[in-house]
Amino acid sequence: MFRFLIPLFLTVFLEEAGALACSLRGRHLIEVLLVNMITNPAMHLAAGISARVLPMETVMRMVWVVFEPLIILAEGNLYARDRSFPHPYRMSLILNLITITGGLVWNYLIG
Amino acid sequence: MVSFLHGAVDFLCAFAVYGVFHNPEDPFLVYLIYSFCAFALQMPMGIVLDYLCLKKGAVHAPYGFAFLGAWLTLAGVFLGPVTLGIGNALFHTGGGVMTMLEDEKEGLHGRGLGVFVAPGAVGLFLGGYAKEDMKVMIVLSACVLFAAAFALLYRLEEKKIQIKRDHALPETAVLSSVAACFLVVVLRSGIGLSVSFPWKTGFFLSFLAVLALAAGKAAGGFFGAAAGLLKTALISLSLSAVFFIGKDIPVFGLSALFLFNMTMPLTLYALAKRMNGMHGTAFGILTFALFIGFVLVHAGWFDLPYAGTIGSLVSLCLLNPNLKGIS
Repeated sequence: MFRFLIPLFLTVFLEEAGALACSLRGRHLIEVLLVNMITNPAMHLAAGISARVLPMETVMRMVWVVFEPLIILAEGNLYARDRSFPHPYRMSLILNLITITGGLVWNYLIG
Repeated sequence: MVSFLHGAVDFLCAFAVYGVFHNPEDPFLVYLIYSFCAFALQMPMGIVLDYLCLKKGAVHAPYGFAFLGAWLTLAGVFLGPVTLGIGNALFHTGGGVMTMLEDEKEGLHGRGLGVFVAPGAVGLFLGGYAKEDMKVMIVLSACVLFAAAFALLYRLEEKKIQIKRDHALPETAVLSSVAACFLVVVLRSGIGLSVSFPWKTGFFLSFLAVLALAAGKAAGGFFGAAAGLLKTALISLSLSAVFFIGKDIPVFGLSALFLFNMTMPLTLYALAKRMNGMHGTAFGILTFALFIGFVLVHAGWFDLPYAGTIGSLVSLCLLNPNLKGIS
């Protein structure tokens, strides 16, 4: 029942680790956590619903071509609302690239 | 953020109404109960919210309404269409007023209103495609999402909110605007529910139609702010009247949807300005008009040829004298 929350936990873990590595601290770490708790479930739901009406291959392409770029922009936009957040869009891109890489490695290892 | 939550709440409502509570033997009863609670109740809720904000100084009441509404909507997935509808109404009233206050504070002249409303249509559409076996995933995702979104909203929103009131207008001007905007929204609701497009079959074209509708609502706010409410309404409704004639061709039908829905933020912004800071009441009056449109459609009042064209032209006549002088 909770297996679909695993991607959320992994995403949050990787993004927080990435944020720490990028010298984000305190309130910015909390904002990274909250933003990912919004975008990750939303994306998985959107992908899940798309999978009901489209072939899986098309959905995977949509995730890479449509959903992920939208998420990077949306997260950057949310980070930017805190004026003290450093380079919000750049940070969103870096953190999401870390997560994507982590996800690819995870899928390779787990199969 | 509030716009995104709007899409999420409407997604939950569509999932519940079309999936969880759907009764194939009598589907209309669930729609009627839910629609009454979700739309008609927004008017009294808006009045209460204005009373709290303006008379009692509870400027964070809109956030409270939206917060309570979102969680009640989630509970409504289990408890039934009444709870679902009340939750939806609370959220829309609170979220709508939050957006209107933010729009005023930032000097956006209505740009924020279309952006708030647009995701709702997308959420409704996608919610209709979610099946009951996704219930656990949807509910848990919504829990995580709502908790994070409201926490973030609370952290990022400025603590001090001021509600501005301009000089009061003569009663006749206000009543005229209320009547005109009310009727325009009744027409928009009725036409939206009754006009059919033969090409709207399958997921892709249906989704494109929803995107056109949502984009129109968002665009209306931006064009209204840039070019003025009256000019935007004149151009969009004139063109939509023409495009509705050829609605059976996809590109004309999509254009008609886009243009016709541009008036949504214009009517909301105009009425809010006329009603002198009573944002909740303005919002509630127009959502009550949506419910009236729903009832009239099911009573067969919109079974007319060229309903879209006639509706566009009548809306134009109603809005023309009532949008003058609003900036």
